[in-house]
Amino acid sequence: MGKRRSNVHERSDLELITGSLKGKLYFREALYKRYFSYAMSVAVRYTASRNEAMEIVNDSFMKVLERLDTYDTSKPFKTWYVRIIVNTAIDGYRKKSKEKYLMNADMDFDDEGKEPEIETELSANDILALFSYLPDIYKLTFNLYEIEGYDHKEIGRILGISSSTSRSYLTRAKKLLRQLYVKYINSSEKNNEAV
Amino acid sequence: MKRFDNILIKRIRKAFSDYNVDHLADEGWNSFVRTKKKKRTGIIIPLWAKAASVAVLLTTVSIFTYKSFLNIKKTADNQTVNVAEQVAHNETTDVANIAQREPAPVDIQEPTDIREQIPVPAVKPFTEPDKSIEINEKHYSGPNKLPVSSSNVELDVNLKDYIDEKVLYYADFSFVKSVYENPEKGNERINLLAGLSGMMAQVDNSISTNPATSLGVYIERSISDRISFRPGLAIAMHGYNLNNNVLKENNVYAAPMINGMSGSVDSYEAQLNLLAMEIPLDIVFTVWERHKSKFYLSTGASTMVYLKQKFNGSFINAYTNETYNDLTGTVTYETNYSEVDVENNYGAFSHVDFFGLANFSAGYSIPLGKSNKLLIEPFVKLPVSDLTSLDLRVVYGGMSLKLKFLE
Repeated sequence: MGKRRSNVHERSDLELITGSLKGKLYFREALYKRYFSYAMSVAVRYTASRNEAMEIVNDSFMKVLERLDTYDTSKPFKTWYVRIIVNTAIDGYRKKSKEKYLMNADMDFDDEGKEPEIETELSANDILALFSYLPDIYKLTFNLYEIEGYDHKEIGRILGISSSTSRSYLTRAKKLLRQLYVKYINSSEKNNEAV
Repeated sequence: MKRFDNILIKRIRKAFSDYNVDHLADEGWNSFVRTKKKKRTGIIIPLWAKAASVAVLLTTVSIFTYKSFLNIKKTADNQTVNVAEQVAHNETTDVANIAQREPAPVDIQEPTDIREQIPVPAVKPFTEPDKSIEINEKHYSGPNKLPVSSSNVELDVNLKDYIDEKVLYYADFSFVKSVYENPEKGNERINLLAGLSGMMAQVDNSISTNPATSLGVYIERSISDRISFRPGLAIAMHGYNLNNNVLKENNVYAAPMINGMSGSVDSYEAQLNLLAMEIPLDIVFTVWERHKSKFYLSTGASTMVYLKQKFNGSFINAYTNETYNDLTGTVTYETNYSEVDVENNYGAFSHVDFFGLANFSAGYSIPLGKSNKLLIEPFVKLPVSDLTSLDLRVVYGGMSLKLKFLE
């Protein structure tokens, strides 16, 4: 038994899934840990903090275990898992509230019309910092469109908004990201250079 | 800008693909196991169980009501048979007496004349009631015990109608009243009531402008002569205007962080519309009773099961930006406002307030037709705990009209 447990991490996804289906805890643990970092990278895009992201991952893995018997083994587990994580994040958003952000014009920073430069690599923390300033609905729309690859029609259906509203949210999200980038990333770079 | 956006998006994708938190995997797994245990041990009542419990409750009430009606019908049938027997008996024994009498039409507009027509010996027994009638008989007794009845009874008229039309009107004898009213007491043990209520709500210190309505059925079960128990089931539609400071902070909505600035809700206008099932359990105390009217007080508690709750709100958020001027050393504050529309829909059975309302009412019942009563009942309902999914303290006040079916 001990030998089986020790080499459990070397097993294939399918073996881990089969073991998990049989209710073996160490197979489940191995499956969870194998995809933990990847799952977190997906979940963290939809939340404001790492703890919230972990909650999404845990809730998603719970759903994975509940629905594991419906998983189509001919398709990659990773893709299936990501879809569950994204859906869980959207469910969480829906539970919070349906919010329509009608930002006043004076809330926006002026878009100077001059295209800012991106010179340095962005770390995940930089991105997360920028994302934390985005309203949830913008963040969701941006992630679903730009990262997950959904089109506006699908996003509209998922979030219960029209496709034109989705387009509008995406535009605003990008605009806000630009402004935030200029304000927080570019300015700090310039300050560092000055020092 | 497109070039910038494309580069930024590429960088974002790359940043997330490089995201590595493998060192947190153990912590994550432990947290997952804890969450799983918590979910297993926590009391989670699924929707089907909630729906089933309501169905069981409704079925129980229906069966109880049905059985009550069966009992009432059975009692009424027995009474009719007994009265018919008694009438037949009266007829055979006093037939000569009846034959000798002239059928004197009674003019109820002139009681003094009628009183003269009624022979004194016939009325007299009512002033000195026969104990056998009072104690043992729920139904009308024979001619020896009620000679007045036998003297005026017609062959196809039962005694109850006779007393109602020709005796009770003139004779203000307590015994007559008790004989008249007592037969119904058997029926009054369990009664069905249907009610319609209109009410206003006060949320904290502001009175809502939208009146609420409620429609319900109730069962009244007599415990003693003066006390009865009244459970019920009502469907109520409410709408509240929620002004500032009514909602608890961050309960429904919290101002999000925008552009790195934390905000606060400056003001809001909101509305909550809900459809609720109210299950009242009340005790009714009769204060005084005269003829067929009575004044009563009622108290109890209501459980509220919310079938639909829709919250709409428009929030004005204030964001204050603090700027420090290095040259002058002054701090300037700039406040910007944003408006946010929030809509929350809470599903059926998403919230239940068990005995969340304390009911107090005073009522007056008056006869309506031969077999019904109309109950006029002003009431107040005070919150025992926070109500609805928004945790509101709501006080209700209004008027209820109930129809009590005696037969």
